Amino acid sequence: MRDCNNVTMRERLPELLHGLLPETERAEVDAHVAACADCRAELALLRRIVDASPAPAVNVAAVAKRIPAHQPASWAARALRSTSLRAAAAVILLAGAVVVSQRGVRIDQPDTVVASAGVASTELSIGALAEISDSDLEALLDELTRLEPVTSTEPEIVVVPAVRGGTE
Amino acid sequence: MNDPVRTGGDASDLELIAAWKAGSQQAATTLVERHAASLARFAVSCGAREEVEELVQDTFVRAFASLDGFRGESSFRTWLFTIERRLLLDRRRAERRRPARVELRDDSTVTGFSALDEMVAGEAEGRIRQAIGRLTPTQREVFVLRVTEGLSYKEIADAVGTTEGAARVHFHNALRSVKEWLDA
Repeated sequence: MRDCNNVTMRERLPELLHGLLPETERAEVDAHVAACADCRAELALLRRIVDASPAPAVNVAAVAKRIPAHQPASWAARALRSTSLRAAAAVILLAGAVVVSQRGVRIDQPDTVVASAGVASTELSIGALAEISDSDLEALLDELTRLEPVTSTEPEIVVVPAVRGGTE
Repeated sequence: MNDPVRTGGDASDLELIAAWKAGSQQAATTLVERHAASLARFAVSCGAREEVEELVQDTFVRAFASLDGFRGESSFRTWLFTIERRLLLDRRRAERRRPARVELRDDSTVTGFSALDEMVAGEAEGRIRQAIGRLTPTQREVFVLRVTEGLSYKEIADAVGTTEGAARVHFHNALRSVKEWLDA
């Protein structure tokens, strides 16, 4: 089976098959196909491929039943779509991840633990975190809420950048 | 006099979405009727077998649950294919973690039909399905969306997460591969 040299016409064959071409274009492509054996063969092949791809039966009523009535977005959902609030949430998540990972912990004072995040933990940019999807952000927030809370007897943990000579 | 909300077959997808948001469940049903077959066909071409209806159902549920975030930059149909494709990938990853229960196959022999189906369908159709099954996963997705659904390269690019140029290359490579297999 050879390919027609007229790339423009070949590219329109799937649209012709599905009746998606505007009237004037359809007439133009129809005229070309009538005169081109290669395009006729390719169009026939595309038609055979469509016929060989039946769709399994789907119980439309059962599927439609599972679709709930529309609920307007909650304040929380709208907040999650706010760029500035997503950035703020990303900062909180990063702080939470640092606390959990407990990298490079050192004790400056008896009742204070300073956790300076290792390079690997802080290489994530706030910009990149602010771009995470709604579903990923919700999943991360969900994980954070499942973390055990630090009791009041635990030393206070303060996160500072890993800068030489830096203090809290 | 109030104009009735269009929920029937002549309403556009965006009109039906607006009608559903206004409280019409009939609008949701019309959207399911309109797009379920295409989603089922795409699922089968990507290797789904017994779970096709469940996959289609999950796709619609996810789509309607996040319609507030649908900005209409792509068509609703393209958006449905995007969601379904992500669900297929998630299931494939989950199946890889449970090798004893593999149902979705990612290799070159996936056709979505059994040997008996091939016999019943006829040799010609069987060879076509074999030819499509031999494509790479990306080629198969692009090829099926272009040929059986008539999506444009832009719509395909949006659905599978690539560029228009790459989609065009994948399609023509796939078509050449199918022709060579059928001519052999």
